[in-house]
Amino acid sequence: MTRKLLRNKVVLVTTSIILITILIGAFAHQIAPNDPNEASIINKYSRSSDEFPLGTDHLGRCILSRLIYGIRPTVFLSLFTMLCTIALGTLIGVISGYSIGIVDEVIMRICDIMLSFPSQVMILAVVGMLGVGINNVIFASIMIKWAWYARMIRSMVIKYNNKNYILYSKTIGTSRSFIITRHMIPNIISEVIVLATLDMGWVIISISTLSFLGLGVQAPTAEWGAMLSEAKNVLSTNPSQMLAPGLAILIIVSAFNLLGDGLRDVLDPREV
Amino acid sequence: MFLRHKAIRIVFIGLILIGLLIGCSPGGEENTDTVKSENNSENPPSINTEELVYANFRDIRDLNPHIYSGELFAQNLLFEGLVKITEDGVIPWLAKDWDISEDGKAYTFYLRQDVSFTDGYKFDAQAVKANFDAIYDNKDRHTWLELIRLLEGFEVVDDYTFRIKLTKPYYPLLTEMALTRPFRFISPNCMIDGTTKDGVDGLIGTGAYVLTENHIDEYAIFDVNENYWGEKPSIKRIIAKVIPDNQIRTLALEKGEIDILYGTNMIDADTYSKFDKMDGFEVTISDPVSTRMLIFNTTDEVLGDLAVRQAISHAVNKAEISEGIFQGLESPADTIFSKKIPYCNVDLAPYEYSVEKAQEILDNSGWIVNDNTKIRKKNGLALEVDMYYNSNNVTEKTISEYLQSELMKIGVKINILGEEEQSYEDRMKNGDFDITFNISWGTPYDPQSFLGAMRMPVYGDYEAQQGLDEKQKIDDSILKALTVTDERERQELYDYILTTLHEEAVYLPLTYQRNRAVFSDKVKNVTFNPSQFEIPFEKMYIK
Repeated sequence: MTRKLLRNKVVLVTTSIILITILIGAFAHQIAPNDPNEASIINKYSRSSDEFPLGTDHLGRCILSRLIYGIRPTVFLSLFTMLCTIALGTLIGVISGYSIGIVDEVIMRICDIMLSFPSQVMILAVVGMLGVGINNVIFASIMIKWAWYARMIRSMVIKYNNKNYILYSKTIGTSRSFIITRHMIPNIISEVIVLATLDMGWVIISISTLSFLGLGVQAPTAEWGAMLSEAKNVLSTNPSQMLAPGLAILIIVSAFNLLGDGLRDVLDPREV
Repeated sequence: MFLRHKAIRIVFIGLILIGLLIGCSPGGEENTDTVKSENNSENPPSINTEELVYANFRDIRDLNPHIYSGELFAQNLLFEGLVKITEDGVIPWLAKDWDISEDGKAYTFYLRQDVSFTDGYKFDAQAVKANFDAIYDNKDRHTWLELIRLLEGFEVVDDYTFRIKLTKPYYPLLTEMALTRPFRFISPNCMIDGTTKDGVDGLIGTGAYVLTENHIDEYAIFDVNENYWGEKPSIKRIIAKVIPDNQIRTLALEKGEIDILYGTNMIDADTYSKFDKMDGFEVTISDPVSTRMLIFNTTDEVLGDLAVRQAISHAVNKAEISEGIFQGLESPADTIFSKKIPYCNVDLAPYEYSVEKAQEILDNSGWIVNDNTKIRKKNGLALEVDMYYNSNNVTEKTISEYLQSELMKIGVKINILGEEEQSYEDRMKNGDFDITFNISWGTPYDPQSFLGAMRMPVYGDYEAQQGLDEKQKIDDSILKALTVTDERERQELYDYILTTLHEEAVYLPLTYQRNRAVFSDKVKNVTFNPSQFEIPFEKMYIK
């Protein structure tokens, strides 16, 4: 399977983009040429130079450094959000799918309620109640998104539940936890990874959107959505300010989407 | 999934990139197109000389002239007062003349006899009295005006003569009468049970314009008052559009959808200099009108410490703010009021910019830098404060971010939070802030109304000063300065007030604000009223 993955060029390219981005983010401190939060208002909107490779923003801060530090909240927090969502979704999905009956019924109706609202609106409502801040945005995203995963995972669990080897395991009295951890999870995990990768793009955009609206990451922390929002304020006078954060979001989101697409081709050949 | 085919995918990505490039390139081609079409058309483009489109960041809201929740520019179009304030002082308006009694306690106004409200109701002393009754009925709302509290009574002398009596002489009376609110006149027909405090039934004034239509949060139309008693304005119709976003306003002006942007909150320095250089547009800027400053809440446990306030005052580089953020349009301010304001030529030592001095003050008063967080601490209390700004204001956010970054250098952490204008003002009034922006109100309000308002919870000043030991004395001195008749004594009181506030570093003056306008070059004679909140549409014309 690894060889198959490596042979798929899209997967290779997008994985390298994502990995490089993550590495740059992790070593932001070493790589960034300047302090991302140091304002020097006299140098505002300066063009690219040796000191500021991508120029400076409206407060004279180095755009490249902000872009690099911005990887942390943008990409890392999105990954974190995704992991938590999947963990919660898997847990609830497995419980629901495995326990068929009243528990399943209750969980699924809750999911129905959650899914019947547009997710962005729900996130806005939750953030409105809890107050602005990146923690609340992440919390809200997890709270809204788990239902979707729970439902997908439940249907997978039900599908595998009727496979012969699982029926056999049950017959010979294997413990429930053994069946779940050894038979279920390895089977559903590959499908979950595809789903999660495809959805990563959505999470990044969602966090960036909320920061763009001023509800997520608070100043002066660099975050791509927030940078885009600041650039928007000088749209008519300095339009080029939008390029760097805009392209960064475009590239990373496309990378995740294409990767998810490629992974599906490789891991799930039946549907091809 | 068509994206699976590589070729299609590459084409797709290519298209996106091309789209981006086109979207971001300057619209050179478009411009040549419009020039061409203009040249080709046989008739020269005709300019509508009767209609002016203005953009404001929010709805005109409740224009009741006796309360404070409407947009001032619109209230000023509809309603007129007894006297008007100009560069050259107070001049007659609906009153053609007035007398002041020897002791300064009685003012007699002789009204114009040729004025009617736009619903036909005759403007006379009875109508003036009805309005004064309505204002006085809601006097708790007007406590920021000393005039209301010193009012002993008012009476109709004859049909066109009206008299106001005071308990004490009060020198700014005529200035306060000239303010955009509340002493403006609405037709008594619009009052509900003889008062206006619970709303009005119509917006009928005597002004040069009438409100014809209002579509909430979209636009409002003001048409000229055909029976106006004075000289009728040249512009027959004003359309006030609501455009909350600064960039969209700017683009709308560039595209010709609107004709004028006006006001300090609506135009930032970048926009100003952009239109200054652009063909087909003109800009104009007033003399300094008011002071842009920060206000510290002295009841806060951190900012209650004078040393902290003084250190921050020393740590702010006003020259850099003036140059970097305002491109020199607004000059740095050292005192709460510019020395040109009446009674404000007080000799005060400015807090000069010196990071070392700021550090030294903090070190000496026990605020020690924590090596891990780089934030100062004293007795376990971190030097961390919340700063609120009005997110409808085009420059306050930039200043906040700049200060946040600058003050971190001396170990002061500032959390900045933006709020929509109304909730921001409510927060100020409730004193629910650590640091916030504040402006002096400019002429004709400075210094008397601005200082007078410090005695009551009007804006943030009253609450913010509660932590001062001398608050009571400051309040008493303000009242005395407003009522005393001896010029020298009044000056001494003002000296005391301004010196104390300066030394206590409650306010941190940043720059002297200048009013500004950016407009299409077909609009002529764009000027400024003494009050920065009014827009003299009646003087403009289109050519």
